[in-house]
Amino acid sequence: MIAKRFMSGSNIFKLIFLIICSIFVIFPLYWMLSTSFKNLGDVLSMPPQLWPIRPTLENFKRVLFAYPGQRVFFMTFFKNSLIVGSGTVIFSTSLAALSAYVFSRYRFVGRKVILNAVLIFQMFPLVLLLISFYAMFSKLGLLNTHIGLIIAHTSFALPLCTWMLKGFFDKIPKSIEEAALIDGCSQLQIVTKIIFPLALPGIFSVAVFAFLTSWDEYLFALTLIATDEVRTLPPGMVLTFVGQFEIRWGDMMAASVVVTIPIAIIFLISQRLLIEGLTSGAVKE
Amino acid sequence: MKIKEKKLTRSLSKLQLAILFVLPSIFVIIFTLGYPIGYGAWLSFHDYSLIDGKEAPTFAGITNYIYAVTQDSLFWVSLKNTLVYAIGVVALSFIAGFSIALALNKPIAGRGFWRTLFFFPWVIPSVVVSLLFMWMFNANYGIVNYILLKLGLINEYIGWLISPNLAMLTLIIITAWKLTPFMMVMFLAGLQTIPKEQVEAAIVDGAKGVQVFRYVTIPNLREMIMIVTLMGMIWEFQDFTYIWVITKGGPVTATTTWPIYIYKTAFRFFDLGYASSMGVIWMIAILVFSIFYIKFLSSEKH
Repeated sequence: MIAKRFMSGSNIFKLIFLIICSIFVIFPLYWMLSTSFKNLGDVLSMPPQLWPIRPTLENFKRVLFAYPGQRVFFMTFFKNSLIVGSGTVIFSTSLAALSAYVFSRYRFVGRKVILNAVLIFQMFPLVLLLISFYAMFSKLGLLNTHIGLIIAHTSFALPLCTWMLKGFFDKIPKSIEEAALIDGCSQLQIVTKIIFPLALPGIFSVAVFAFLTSWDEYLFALTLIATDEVRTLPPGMVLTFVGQFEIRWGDMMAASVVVTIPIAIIFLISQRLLIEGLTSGAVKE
Repeated sequence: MKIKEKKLTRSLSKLQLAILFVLPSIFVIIFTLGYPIGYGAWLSFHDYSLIDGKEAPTFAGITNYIYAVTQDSLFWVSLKNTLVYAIGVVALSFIAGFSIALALNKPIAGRGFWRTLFFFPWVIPSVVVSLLFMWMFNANYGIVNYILLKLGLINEYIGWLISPNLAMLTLIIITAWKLTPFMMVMFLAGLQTIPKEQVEAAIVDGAKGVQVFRYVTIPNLREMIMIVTLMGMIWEFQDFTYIWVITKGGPVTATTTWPIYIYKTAFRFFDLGYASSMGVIWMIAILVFSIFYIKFLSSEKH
């Protein structure tokens, strides 16, 4: 019965469609991996080697440990990205958890209003914000600091994080709170001892989202940070590889692989929750 | 009496708690979004060009705005480029994401695997995506040219990113690759909420596949379509990373969008006042667009 359903004519058509589409996803990733294992000459060989004929780790070694002509390199950028990412996670998740709870439980604003607010915040031109940030940060001495970048990234992540978390909180039945109230819990205890633990998966997915936002951010990191010691990965990678007279594609792809692996691991752990978080705010239950 | 008092303290503490919880977020939003936007708007009425040796902004009225609208042809060129880019990316990823979502909506072999696979590009860092496709679309050594030539689709190697006619198209394809997963998961979630009874009732009434799609699926997804296309437009209006990393707005001005042009004005030519005024025009434009878009799509219902 099940086999019959899977193998119906339209399903075979769909499977063929999916396989064709998947090539567009898999091949670029494969090409990144394949290039990262080729030596300088093989990268540019014609016809291109689909599979690295002389696989080598020299690109990874160079990228990770000692890059010619660079005082500080990849590991420093990596560490900086981790610091800024973690800071962004802590700030935006805790702020979003508090305000999302209020938006979920107090009926003074509707779903529509919050959605619109989130959309409006997204509309603020980032470059315009950046000009003001630059002026503001130079007065406050926050230019070229991790904390300055954390503040910037938190402000990008916060609206969407709040929206996502509200979706998770909405799913926790109100009756649990009422029962706890009757049992003598204070309002604060209800939140800290019952709601937040129950929403932990949601909070986790929002934390992942905040981390990805920070890990990905290029424009502000490029402009607000001036020295290699403080620089994060996205601008660090671009400044190292792009605009050189001769681009070392193998090194570039090796660095890309190293940056993508932690993301892939986080993704595999959290994708179900991440999808739930992204969609829960937008889908009518 | 006592009960009433107790209720009062409880409700009061509930309200206090709410204020206490929302306050930090409001503070952050004011500090990081409200104040900067206000400062940018203020700056837009000032002449503040660091390259002209201005040490402090001097009031200039609406000269910046007038210059942008009446004299600066690049302002209009980059508006056109922004629209082409944003609409192109949203349309392409909408079609791709929606098709994949439709294929995955009903049970199919390996559904979980497919969903994971097609969602994955969404988390790959934008800079990595930019560098990877820069490599693949490279004119001399890129694999794309090689494959297309082997398939007989092109006669000679194409300078995807260095040809003024193709650079924008290539950027649209690259960005759409990254946005498609978002469209896919949103539509998949939307499709899952369509009540089975409605589909069945339509089939009982004699509706064919296409009619079910037209009269049941689409109306049910109306709000979702509105949200994702609007969000997509707003995001792609903002997009900076792909364009700046891959083409820097070139060749010449072929891929110079508003974010690129404003960034260059502010951080290459250090004309902060003029850059701010273009940013304000952009904000008003996208706000007006969004209001009309929401109005248009909600009024189309009946």
